[in-house]
Amino acid sequence: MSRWSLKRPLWPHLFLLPFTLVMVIPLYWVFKTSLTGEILYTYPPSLIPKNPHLFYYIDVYYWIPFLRYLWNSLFVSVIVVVSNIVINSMAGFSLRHSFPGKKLVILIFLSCMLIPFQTTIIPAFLITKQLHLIDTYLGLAFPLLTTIINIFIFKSAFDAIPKSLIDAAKIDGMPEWRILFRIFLPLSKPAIATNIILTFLWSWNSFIWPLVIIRDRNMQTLPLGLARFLSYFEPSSGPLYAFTILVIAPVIVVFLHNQKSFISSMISGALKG
Amino acid sequence: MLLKKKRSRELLLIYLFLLPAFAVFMIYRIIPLGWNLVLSFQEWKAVGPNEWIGLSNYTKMFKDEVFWKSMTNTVIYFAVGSPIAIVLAIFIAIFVNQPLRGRNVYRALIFIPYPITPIAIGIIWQWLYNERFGLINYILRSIGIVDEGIPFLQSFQWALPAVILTSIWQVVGFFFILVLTGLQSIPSELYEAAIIDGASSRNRFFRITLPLIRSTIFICFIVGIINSFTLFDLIYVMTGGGPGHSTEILITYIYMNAFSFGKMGYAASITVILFLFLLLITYVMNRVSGGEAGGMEIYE
Amino acid sequence: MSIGTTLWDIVRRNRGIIIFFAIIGFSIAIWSIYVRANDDGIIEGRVVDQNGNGIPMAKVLVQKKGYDILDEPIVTMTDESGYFRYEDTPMLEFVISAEKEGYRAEGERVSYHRYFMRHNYKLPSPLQLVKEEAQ
Repeated sequence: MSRWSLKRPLWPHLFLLPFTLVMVIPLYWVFKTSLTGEILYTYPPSLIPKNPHLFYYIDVYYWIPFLRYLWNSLFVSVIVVVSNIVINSMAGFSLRHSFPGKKLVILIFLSCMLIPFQTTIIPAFLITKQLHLIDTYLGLAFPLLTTIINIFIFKSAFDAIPKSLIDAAKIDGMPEWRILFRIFLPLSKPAIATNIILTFLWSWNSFIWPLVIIRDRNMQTLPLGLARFLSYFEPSSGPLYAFTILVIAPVIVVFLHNQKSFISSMISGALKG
Repeated sequence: MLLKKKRSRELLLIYLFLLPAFAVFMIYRIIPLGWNLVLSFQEWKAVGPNEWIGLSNYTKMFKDEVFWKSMTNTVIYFAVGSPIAIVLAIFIAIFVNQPLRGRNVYRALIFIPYPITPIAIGIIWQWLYNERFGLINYILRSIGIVDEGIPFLQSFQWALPAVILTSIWQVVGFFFILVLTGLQSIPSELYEAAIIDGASSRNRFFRITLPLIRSTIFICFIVGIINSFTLFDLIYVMTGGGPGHSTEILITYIYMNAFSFGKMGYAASITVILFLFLLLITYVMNRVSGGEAGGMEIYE
Repeated sequence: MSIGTTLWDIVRRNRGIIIFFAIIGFSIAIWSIYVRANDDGIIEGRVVDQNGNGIPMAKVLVQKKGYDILDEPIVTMTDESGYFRYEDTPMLEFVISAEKEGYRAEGERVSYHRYFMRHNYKLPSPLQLVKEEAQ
């Protein structure tokens, strides 16, 4: 009896392996180039890095304020994530209760969802300018301080909490806001995780908004710094790829470490949308 | 009496808690939408008040070749790019759905391109497409398809397909995950019953699988719309809209008009069109996949 | 449940990440110490002829390599055995060459990349000059 019967078919691998390679090879190739600078000196390209060296990474450190960019991206993302959790859980909390005008509020939120961010950048820029928030961390964070999808993620998680629990707490005399903290939030860990992951990714990868409001070189975020690198220095330079790897490596590492929660967060984000 | 007081305090808290979210949406979604509309009827002046020029931004737009090119390119992306990615994702998801070794490895690796910054992806692929040093041209030359490299990103006919291919590469991982989840929610009894009834695998696919992942496909399209905005990043880095506006899409043209040329009024009018276009697509997709998929749940 | 025990709980559960960052922090500290100890900007090397003998009184030029405008080369002379030494050179990547009456240089100019600015660098191989035939 063949071991490779329907239990573990082999034929899918035939298609999947090349496909996965296509997904992964560009990343590997850039990584390899950042270590050897092959594009500039050797042709045909080779599979294994020959004479790898770290000099391009050192160049990145000296040519641009990399640590500063990293800090900018990190700081803004942290602000955004924290604010999202706070504001969204508050809004989700409110939506858990019934109150006059609830349908209207939900309708308004839903219609906000139909307004994509990029259709608002011009006035958003003008508003930010009026508020003197150009080139500031707050200005960068403001449009992302809360997102509707995440509010609804909290709402769904809160809806799943049985009313009996809430009533019991009320009878015990707990003030409302403490109910939020002590009961709702601890029971919605997946929702919090989803909020964190989605918000962090959106903030970390956001490019067009920093592009619009950041003029000061020292306030740039990583994606913006990366794009500007192209215009400051020659396009095909080794340090460019070292910089690229430095920018994408944290995301890849964090993703590989937390695959499950990452993927389920993105799925629930999409489903609610 | 006490109950009423408590209730009104509770109500106050509820409204208070909604306030921050509301404020942000007000400032950064609703007001901008209106302001955009207003701007589209004005001509932007750097100094002094704007001038009201009625519909002339719109008439200018309809005569603008570059606008129509951007519009066409945007439509091409939605009509060609997203469907290809979805079909590919369904294909791959079906393969991965088999009981396989290393399923999770495939899942992780195929998904990896998605969370990566589109700017980085643009830089990576820009180099892959490079005429002399790029990996793609090297492979093409080795196989013998071409004699000399194709300057993908510099040629009029290849630039847009190249950028769309990169976008597909990035997003197919996410579609794949969505479809995979959808596939896994189909109970296997359905398939078993169909096999017993003698249905061919083609029939099984088209009669069982496809209809049941319809809402997933709808979600993929919506995600595709959201993802189309990352095209801005890709195009900014890879081609800058060129060569000759062949990779210009609506959002890049808007950006160029607003922030490079300073013609904010004109850019606002294009934005209005973009907004209407996206609404239209969402509506169409909604009807095509049969009703408000999932939207009804929100209404308690 | 006091604050203390919950905090300790969080630390214990996230051991991995904390250890990771601790290692990174530690490595950065060690590296910084190394850099501080070796950043006098020294470049040392030797100029030899084709037989491996040191060439005294040869002129050595070192210059910054990069995409910026070229700075003036810094010049020093070798001693009796052909050794030379620079102090306080800041450039990260440099091109170095030697010249002397009656000698010519073989091959291309060599460039070196340091690990940090003012890294004390000892040339891995000496600068080669070939003695020209007497006319």
